[in-house]
Amino acid sequence: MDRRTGLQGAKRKWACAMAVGIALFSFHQAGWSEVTPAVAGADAPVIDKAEADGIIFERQQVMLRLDKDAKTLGMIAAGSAPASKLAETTRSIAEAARDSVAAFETVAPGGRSKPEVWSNHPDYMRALRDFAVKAEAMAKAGQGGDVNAVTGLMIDAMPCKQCHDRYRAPKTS
Amino acid sequence: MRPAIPIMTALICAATASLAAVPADSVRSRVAGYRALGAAMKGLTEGVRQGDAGSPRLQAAARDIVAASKAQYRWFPQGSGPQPGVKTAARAEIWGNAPAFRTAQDNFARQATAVERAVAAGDASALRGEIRKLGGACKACHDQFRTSDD
Repeated sequence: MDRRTGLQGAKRKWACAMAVGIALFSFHQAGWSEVTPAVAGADAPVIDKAEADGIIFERQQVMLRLDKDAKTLGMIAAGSAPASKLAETTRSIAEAARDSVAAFETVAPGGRSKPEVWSNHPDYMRALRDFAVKAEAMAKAGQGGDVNAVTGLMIDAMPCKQCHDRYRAPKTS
Repeated sequence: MRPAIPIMTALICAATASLAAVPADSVRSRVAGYRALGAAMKGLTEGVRQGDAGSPRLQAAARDIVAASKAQYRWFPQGSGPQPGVKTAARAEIWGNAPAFRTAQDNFARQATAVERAVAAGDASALRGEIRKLGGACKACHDQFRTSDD
């Protein structure tokens, strides 16, 4: 690799790490709020509060896991965490992305989900499914330990901020 | 799904280590216990999503959850709360409002038993509902007694 290519690679890694950092910063600007009234679909099954709280809790756990894994991935991309963690981290992100689809399937307003999650539920679910597909592709790239390949995929695979800006309410406390 | 034996080992270690007097050890032991509990919950949830309702794997996961729900009463000894030099997500209210915390623990233990019964019955729909209620019991306790992660 010549010096120019090396510098471009380093710049790209830095840009990716910054993008992940910005996404995480946005993620951390808020916490989970109280139940938010939302418009549920007319055909949505009725579930009681105890069950709804369990669904919200699962969503929160999935998002926390994604948050931790995204941080680790950002550190790997920036070279401050070992590349040996790449396969495990990307696999965990892919699993959490898949879990997020399942966790949001049932209409259960609350936590920090904005009303738009439920009023635009098909669009929201499409975004989550797209996330799961791309995260799976990233995990496959990560299995070979190729940091550059994962770095090239991760901004598109993890559109955290785009989704949070549209569908997640700010922290209330 | 992770095997039951490591989870049981983690729970036993957590229960044993929680007897230690050093606050950091108590914190480590309860973190280990909750991680094992989380693994069992994840295994249970994944199993149900895959259409499983009463397999031996789910029964083992449910047993682990019930074991954790009993062990958790020993995971919060006096002096293992927030203090300088000890990193913990446990809020001081656990010890400051012990009756309320005990109620939350009891709710969790009761719901863990309900999940185990639903697994034994093999009714997927009922089990899904009981698992959600168990998550609700987790949330209720986290909301009141655990510092926010984000």
